[in-house]
Amino acid sequence: MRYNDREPIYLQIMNEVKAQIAYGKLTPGMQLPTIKEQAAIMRVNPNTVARVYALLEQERIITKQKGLGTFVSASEYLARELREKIAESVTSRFVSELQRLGFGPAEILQQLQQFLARAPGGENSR
Amino acid sequence: MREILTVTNLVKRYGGKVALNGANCRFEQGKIYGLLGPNASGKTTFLKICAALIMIYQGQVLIDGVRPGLATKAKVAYLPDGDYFLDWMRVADTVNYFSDFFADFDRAKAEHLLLELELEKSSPVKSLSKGMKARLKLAVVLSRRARLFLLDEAFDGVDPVTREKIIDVMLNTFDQESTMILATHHIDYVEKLLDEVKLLRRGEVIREIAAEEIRQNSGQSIGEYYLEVFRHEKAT
Repeated sequence: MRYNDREPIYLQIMNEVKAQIAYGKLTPGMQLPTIKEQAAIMRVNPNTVARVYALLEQERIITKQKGLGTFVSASEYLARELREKIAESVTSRFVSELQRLGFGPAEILQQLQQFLARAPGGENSR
Repeated sequence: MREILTVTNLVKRYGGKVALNGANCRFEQGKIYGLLGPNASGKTTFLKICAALIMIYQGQVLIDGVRPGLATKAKVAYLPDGDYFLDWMRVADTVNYFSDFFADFDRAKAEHLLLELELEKSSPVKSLSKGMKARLKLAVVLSRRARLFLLDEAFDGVDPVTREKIIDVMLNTFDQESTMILATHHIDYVEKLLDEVKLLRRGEVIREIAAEEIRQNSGQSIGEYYLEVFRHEKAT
């Protein structure tokens, strides 16, 4: 994983874990590495990983089981929920960029429709 | 959290020259600290006093409540800047030498680190490159089960591959029982390793701040924050 040194590392790792769940790389019930292992894999301070795990647990995205380890929450809705959240933030970025260019709602829709028409099944089918 | 090192009004003069000028700071167990500052800001003197290599100073230094001396040497592992091996030794002799010297030296760990850092036991120390010497230094220091690791410029003269290996073995050694203080000019190497940053200027601690706080509050990397503080410093 590549980090941006100007943003809190814990936020970047949290978003990465959420993205991995949304994209299906991490699936419900899957075991996560221990804090120490994860820190070694990501080459970051283990206290940062501990913070990430604590926050993800608070958000019920992962669960700790005493003596067994840390697991991705078993909820079926989780991936869908995270996917929706990512879609929401991508859309919001897209819209606000076009608004900065002076586009109104109708023009934004038109822009999107034209793009989809030009690139059938291309960029968007994944 | 438990305090492992407490420094109060620390002053050190070399003749007329002031190296430390009333430094105050605290270090908690289970954290990795960056001790950062320009040349001649007092970093090395600070570490040497904590390592009980400099015994004459004013002010107070307490390691786990005890002044640096024989008792603290047993739990403080110090990696000095520059060369400190005996040239006529081989890698294996160097490991034995450290093993004889420190009761907390973990031979199994040393074997593991030599392998990890690709150090040949039979190699004469004299024949090692700068990067390999840096690896050997780190291997013998991190083989100790110390409570406090003081690492002075662990990244000097190392290539990117060695840097990654050094970071890996540091992370492998660090745990909630230990504390690491890294004095370094290579801030970009340690951005993701540090819990907290202490900035030294002319022998005083002028900033103590959590690494994530820097990024969160100002949207700066530690390196940029450092530059902003020190950019207008005149060299001494």
